[in-house]
Amino acid sequence: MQHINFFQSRKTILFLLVISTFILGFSRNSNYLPEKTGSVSGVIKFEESYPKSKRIRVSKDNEVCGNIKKSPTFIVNRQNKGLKNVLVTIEGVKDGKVSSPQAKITIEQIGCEYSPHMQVAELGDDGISLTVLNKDGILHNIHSYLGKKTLFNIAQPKFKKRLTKTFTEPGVIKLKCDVHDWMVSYVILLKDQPYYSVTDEKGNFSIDGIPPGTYTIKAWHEALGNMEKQVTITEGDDSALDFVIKPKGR
Amino acid sequence: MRTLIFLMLFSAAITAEAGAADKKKDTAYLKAAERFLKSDIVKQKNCNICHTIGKSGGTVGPILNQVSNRRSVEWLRKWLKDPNEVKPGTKMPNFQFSDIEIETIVGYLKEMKREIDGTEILARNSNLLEAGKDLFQSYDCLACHRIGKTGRFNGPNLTWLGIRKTRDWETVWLRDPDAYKPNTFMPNYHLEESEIEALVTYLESLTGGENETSREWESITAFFLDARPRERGRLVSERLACWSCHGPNLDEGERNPNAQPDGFVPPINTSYIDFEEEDLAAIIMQGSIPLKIDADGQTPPFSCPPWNDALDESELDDLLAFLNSIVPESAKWEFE
Repeated sequence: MQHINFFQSRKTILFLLVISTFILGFSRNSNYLPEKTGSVSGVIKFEESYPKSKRIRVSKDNEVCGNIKKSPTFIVNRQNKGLKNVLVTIEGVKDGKVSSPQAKITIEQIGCEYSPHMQVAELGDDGISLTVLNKDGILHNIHSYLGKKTLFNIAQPKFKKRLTKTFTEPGVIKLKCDVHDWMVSYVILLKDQPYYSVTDEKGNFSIDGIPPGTYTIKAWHEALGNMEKQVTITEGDDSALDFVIKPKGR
Repeated sequence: MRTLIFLMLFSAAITAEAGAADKKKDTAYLKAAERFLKSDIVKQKNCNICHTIGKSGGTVGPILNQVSNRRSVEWLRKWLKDPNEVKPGTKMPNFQFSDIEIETIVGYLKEMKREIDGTEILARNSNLLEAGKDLFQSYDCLACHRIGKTGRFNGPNLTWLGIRKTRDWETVWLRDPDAYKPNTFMPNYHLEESEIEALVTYLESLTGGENETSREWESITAFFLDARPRERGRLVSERLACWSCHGPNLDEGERNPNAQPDGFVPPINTSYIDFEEEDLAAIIMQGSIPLKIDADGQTPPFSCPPWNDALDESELDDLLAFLNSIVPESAKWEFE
């Protein structure tokens, strides 16, 4: 009798499920030993000169959007010339950390700008839902592209404060508003890729928990595209590696 | 005598009345547009942010005033339900309209149709060119297309059509656009052969005259501005209407199923750093012929025409200086 009660208890079954998920989850990477890993960090910066933020003249909905917008493409730190919003990934790590997918992400439209301008999320098998908030109270549309292909293009009229869309494919998704064509945002969805970092205000990135070995390290920026380098990770060490940006053709 | 005067007055009155009726008929579509503009649905959904309705509105989408001259009720329903399904990549977003909302909008739009009597238009003009221009305006072609500084960017720009296309091509195209290019966004206006003849005559005239005027304007403006090469080049690019295919800011191209490698006409704002100056000059002067994906397929609808007849050497230099000046900041940097 007692025995039956044990298995009938919902909480117990749930507990067992959670435990087994953990065991199964880790069994896939049983060779991963967090204490026997290394890390890589560095800065992504301009060599000498750097671009000034482009100013965009606003031609409609000025009451909400203002008169001038600054392009968010190049956000450069004046002191060290570090570049913000560069995605850095370590490719092809075997027996490493397990990806922890997110279920939802959010983006805001405020003052006719997307906030954040760029975000990275880990995509699971069930896809990821994007909630789009319209704080402006004017008509925006959310036109999403994967490469040149339109994924969806939906209107968010002034009274519609929130809408939700689900993505199932990894990649660089560009969001654009056709009503206010300066409004652009990037959502990068990574599949089975826990090894990433996005540069901060000073252009710094840092990725840890990498098993020793030699890997390809990749930097991606919306205007600069991709750049790959090799990095060797040793146990208990932080490998230093910078990416430098210079004028084209030099 | 009195009877005669009476009869004359009477007939004059009838004529006047008929004229007024004609005029009323002719502006009915505009009144319908004004009603649509003032409707609750437009107030809620802000269609006028992108579309011109009546006399005012945005310039992102086509002018809607004569929308029912070119689209059927069925087409409008399908379009409103999911624009991307009808025209992949369109800027028109899906408003997720309810069926009731769609019927409300379609109810307004179907009234926005101008009565056009092609025979009458042909009769009232003294020559084919004038008649063609009249028809072009009556059918509101500038709702989507552009000539010079007027019109919209939703269809190809027609400023230089006369040198880009031939009479035969235009005739075949206007007869049945969809037969020539399946799934084209260009509607079939079911024109009479006589109307097509007049329209083609007008379209073929879209070359020299206006351009010569703008060329004079160019040199006058350049003189007063004491213009630098890149400013002179800007005027040249406006005369050539480079934006007709490469987008209003030269940074986006039109779709072209035959354009390699991805079905888009390339933007040219980065052309100055994408090519060696010499090669770029050669493309401008001799034209580009995009490779065809399907060798037996149609002639590419867009290829950059050779501009050697329209440019002299110094104008080419100015144009290159202009192209150099518009390279966006984002394209000027690279990882080391």
